[in-house]
Amino acid sequence: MTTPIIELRVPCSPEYVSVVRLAVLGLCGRIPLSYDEVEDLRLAVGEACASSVYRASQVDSNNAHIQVVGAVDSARIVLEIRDDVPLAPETESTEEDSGLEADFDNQQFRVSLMQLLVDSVEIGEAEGGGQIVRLVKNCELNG
Amino acid sequence: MSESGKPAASRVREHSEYLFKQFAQTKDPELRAELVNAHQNLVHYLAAKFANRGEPLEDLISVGNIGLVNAVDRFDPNRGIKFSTFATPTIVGEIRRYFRDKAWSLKVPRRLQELNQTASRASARLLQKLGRAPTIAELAQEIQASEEDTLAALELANAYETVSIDAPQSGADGSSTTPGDTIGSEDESLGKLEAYDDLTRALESLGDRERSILYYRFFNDMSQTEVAKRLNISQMHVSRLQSKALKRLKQLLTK
Repeated sequence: MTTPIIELRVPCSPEYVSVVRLAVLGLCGRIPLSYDEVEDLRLAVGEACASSVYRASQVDSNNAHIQVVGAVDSARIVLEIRDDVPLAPETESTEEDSGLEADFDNQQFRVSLMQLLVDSVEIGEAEGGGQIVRLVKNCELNG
Repeated sequence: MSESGKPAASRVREHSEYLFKQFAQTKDPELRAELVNAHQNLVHYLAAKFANRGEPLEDLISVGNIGLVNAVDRFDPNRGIKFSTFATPTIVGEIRRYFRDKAWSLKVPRRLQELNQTASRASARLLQKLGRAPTIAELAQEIQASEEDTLAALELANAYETVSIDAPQSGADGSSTTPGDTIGSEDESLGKLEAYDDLTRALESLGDRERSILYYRFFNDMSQTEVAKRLNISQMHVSRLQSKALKRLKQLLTK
């Protein structure tokens, strides 16, 4: 498949998440998705970025980056959100202590939210040791 | 470990687990209300993620709460999953359904959808400020768009919701019509006019006598014998000329 690949690399900090979301909006213009489907995908991408930003804040890595790699064809849009923040071993205790908010503002919660919003969510470890979130949104309108 | 030594979140969670177990047994409406109130922040958190889509946050929280209430009713504390994990799909599902129901019936370019939202908000704002409905020019200036775009944006409101062609609409006099009734159809007499023109031309190509026979027979409704008397020829001759003329007309018109 020779689909053009789009790449975007931004600093791993909250203010750049909106840049990624905006870029995704532009990308979605190339595929016949409805307004709400586009918004769902953007929300999922935002969650994936938030996960990277959150982890970066936990380990104090100031020069971390988020890299978004996307491919769009007529049937679906595939986005990979990679970061270079080392995957921390799952620590229950830190989340337990940070109040009730942490009860749902955590990694697992984000994953389940993403799964509700797009057709496929895969999470793995990137080559450099960071996280890689692969989101797929199918285009049902396209026949 | 003493009760006070535990982190606050943990104690809240244990309390909520206890409430769920109680509620699962008693179905006490007061417990239900307490559980719904205890998880308001979950609904707020999720609803906030769906803000900026053109629907007021309060509405999203309201529909999210419908999901929350359903989740509280169906949650089984003995299954060993956290309530927030269980409730999220229900709440998000309810919010997304709300968007789907509010969705545009017709596919409208996103730029214009957004302009439409901006325009309707600005229109409400100006209505309050001016004490009357704003003019198109005022509205266009307010949203910094051309008058043409503003008009297009306002027209779009019609595309937001469509009406069934069979939906009854009661008129002012109490009569009930449907939009389908008011849709025009092709005027059949237009086709007739065309055929009439063709026929006129075809008739012109006939001989005088043949044309007279057709005229008397079909326009004046005379019998072949009457026509024969009028033209001073035999009835047999009339019959022959008539069939010849009709055959010729048929040829001309089917060409």
